[in-house]
Amino acid sequence: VIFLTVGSALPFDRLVQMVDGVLPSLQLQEPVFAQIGRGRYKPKHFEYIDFLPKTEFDKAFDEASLVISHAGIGTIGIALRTGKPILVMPRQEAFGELVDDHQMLTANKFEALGHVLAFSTPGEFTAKMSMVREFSPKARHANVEGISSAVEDFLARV
Amino acid sequence: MSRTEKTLCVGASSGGHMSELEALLAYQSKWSLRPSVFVATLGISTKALPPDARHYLIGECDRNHLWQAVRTLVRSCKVVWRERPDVVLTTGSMPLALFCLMAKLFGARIVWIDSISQIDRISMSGRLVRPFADLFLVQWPELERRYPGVRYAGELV
Repeated sequence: VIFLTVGSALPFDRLVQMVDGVLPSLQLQEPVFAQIGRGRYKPKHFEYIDFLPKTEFDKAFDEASLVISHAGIGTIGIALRTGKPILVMPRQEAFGELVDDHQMLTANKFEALGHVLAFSTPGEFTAKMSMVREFSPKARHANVEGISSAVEDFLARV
Repeated sequence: MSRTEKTLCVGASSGGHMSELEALLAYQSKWSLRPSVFVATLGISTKALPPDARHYLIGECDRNHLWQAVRTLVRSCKVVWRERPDVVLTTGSMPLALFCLMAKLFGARIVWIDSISQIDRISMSGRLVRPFADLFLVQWPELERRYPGVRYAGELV
């Protein structure tokens, strides 16, 4: 199963509609299942649900061969921790999807580091879908302990 | 409640900010002060804190919604008045920046960790907090070089 998610907070109709529009031409061997939030666009070519409880979300994520998502750092973080291949599409300020374009920079940066594949147009989505079977996401080694140590240094002096 | 124990308040907006905070809270056993107050924006709780931690919601807001910001400020003020945190530790975003502002007015010390999704500059909420933050961390080394007084110590994602 390919799991499509728009994240926990905001709808992302442009992503759902783009995947729905391109999907028939891809002739995939496996189905898509989507979590579309409060989106108004209802996909015609795959099953969907508005929201999934956390445990079911994790299960859908875990069972997916591939995740397609908005370029939110929460979802990207789960993909990196679980080693799941992920295609991300940034929300854009120009479409009223966010208050700024930080997701564009996030998508570009994490793609440049080899962690994700990114797309913004139907053409790019088709191209990245043909690349994804050969794509193995580069492992990320986040230094959480470094931040924890800096926090503890501070707390010890309070 | 005894005032001898310092109060550490942790908080984040829902979504990626909360994921980043939870990643950090996995290390809380190594800290000399444990979080006892938790601030979220929407009806989202966390399993990352001890069950006796007190939870509060201050609502979502962003730069384009002034009325929501006022509501968040009022709610923040109530929480700060009641809990009098000694330290506020947050991964953002705007609602937590407003909370930090209130907490600072009541004497709290502020630890702000700007999101890893801020690649080429500090977030707008981070820029609001930076002048009065006591520890300001970024998650890209390039940003540490660009902003004086800002530290890079690792990353949460």
